Amino acid sequence: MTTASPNGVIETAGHRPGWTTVARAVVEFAALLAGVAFGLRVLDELPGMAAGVVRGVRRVDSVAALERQVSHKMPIPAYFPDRLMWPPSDLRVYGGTSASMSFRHRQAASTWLIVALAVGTGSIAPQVLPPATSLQSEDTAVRSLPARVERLRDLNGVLWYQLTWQTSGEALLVRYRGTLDEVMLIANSMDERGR
Amino acid sequence: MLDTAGLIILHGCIAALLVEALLRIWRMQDPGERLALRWLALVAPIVLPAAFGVLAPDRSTEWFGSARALFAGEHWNQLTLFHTGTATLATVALLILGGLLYLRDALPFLDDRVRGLGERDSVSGHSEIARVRSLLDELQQAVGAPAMGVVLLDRQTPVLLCSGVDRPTLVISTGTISRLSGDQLRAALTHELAHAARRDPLMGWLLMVVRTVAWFSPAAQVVARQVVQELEYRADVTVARLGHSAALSGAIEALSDAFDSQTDLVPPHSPRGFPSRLMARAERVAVGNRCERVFAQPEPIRTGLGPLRFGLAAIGISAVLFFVV
Repeated sequence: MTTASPNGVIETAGHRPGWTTVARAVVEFAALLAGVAFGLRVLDELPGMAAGVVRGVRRVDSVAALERQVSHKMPIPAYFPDRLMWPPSDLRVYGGTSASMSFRHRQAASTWLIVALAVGTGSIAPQVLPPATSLQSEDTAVRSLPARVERLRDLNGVLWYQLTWQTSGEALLVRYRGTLDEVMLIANSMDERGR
Repeated sequence: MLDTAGLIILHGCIAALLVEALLRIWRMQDPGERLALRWLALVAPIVLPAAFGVLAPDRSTEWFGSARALFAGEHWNQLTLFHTGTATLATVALLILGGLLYLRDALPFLDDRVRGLGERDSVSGHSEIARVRSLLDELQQAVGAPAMGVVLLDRQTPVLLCSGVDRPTLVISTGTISRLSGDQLRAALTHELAHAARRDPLMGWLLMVVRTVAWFSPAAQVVARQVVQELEYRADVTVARLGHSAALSGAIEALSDAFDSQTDLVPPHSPRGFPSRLMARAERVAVGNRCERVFAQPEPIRTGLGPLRFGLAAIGISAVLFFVV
């Protein structure tokens, strides 16, 4: 039996939607939601692609801006080889917790030193670092703190040394394209400015 | 402040698009169900950011935007134009657009309601008042509407509105009566009685409150107009149920000839200026679609899926908006 409600909608007495109708509504809804989520994610990727950085990474103009983003002073090595250029050529931040500074070689004009910091997360987000493959890894110490030294190869086949260690509440990283002695000197000379 | 406005604008756009898509893929006909989803698209973007802020404070951190969010507006600020981030520029542009859309509707609405549309040139003792009143009395019971007062305006401009939150009042002009045949007038009055039966004037005020709160959001302004169209559709369905759909169509056609009509059956012409013409055209398309729906399916079929669909839509919109910062 069908009746018309006050607003003119046909209602079927005792009518209940079949499970196929319900399932179809749910599947259509899920497909739409998945499409919207995918579309939003693609839209979110676009600015990073245009700026040449990984999604979620933000480039800033100055060390001061980087420090504002992570609410922490960036460590600057007191030992800074002459052949490197100051100021940093590339400053990146990810999630307000990881930040990196890249320094170019004066003659080669390519990146030779990367200093990175993570605050409150235990490890530095890989998004602020160029991709590289670890070839060898050993324990060592930086300023009497346990550290790890690694030999890496980047996507261009260039070999790097990388030191990572932790202090109270922060993780530090130095990646250098020179000798192991130099990267140890750089790491051991690093301190937060203003301390 | 600009960030919050930008987030509400962004959420409004996403919620409006989601609801529009759901209405289409679910082919929803029931005006009540359609109305509920439109209200969801209107209110959710205003309420949810505050709720998320209380329930999930971590969501506002930059880490969430980078690592967890589906979309972070702030990422678009990496691309700059005139030394300003594109997200900020887009927010400002949309904010201006939202404000203009709000003023375009709010000023006439408030002018009509606050200054009293019916009190400016209303006439009493006119011979048409008795005719309108007897028609209303005749139709009132069939529609299930409360008793309505009548305000007759002596002007050639077509005016036909249901106003009054506590005491519903029909505001009609002599211009409307002279343009409509007996059947068309009956259909038009049934439409207005349907508004009174569903307390739509109160809905109009609630809509204006929401529009005022979200004055800067173009999506909120557009969805509010869609809510109005759904209210009109619901009233049309009542007219169709009583067998007056053809007469209603004739009434719409007769009233759409006037350039300055003030009726909810058909929007006024806005011949000056490109944006006004564009909006008037969009409104006319919406009216056309509304009528088409009424005549194609005069009595929409209720599938019994209304609560399920509303629940799914509410969960889906909340889930998507949670990951948009």
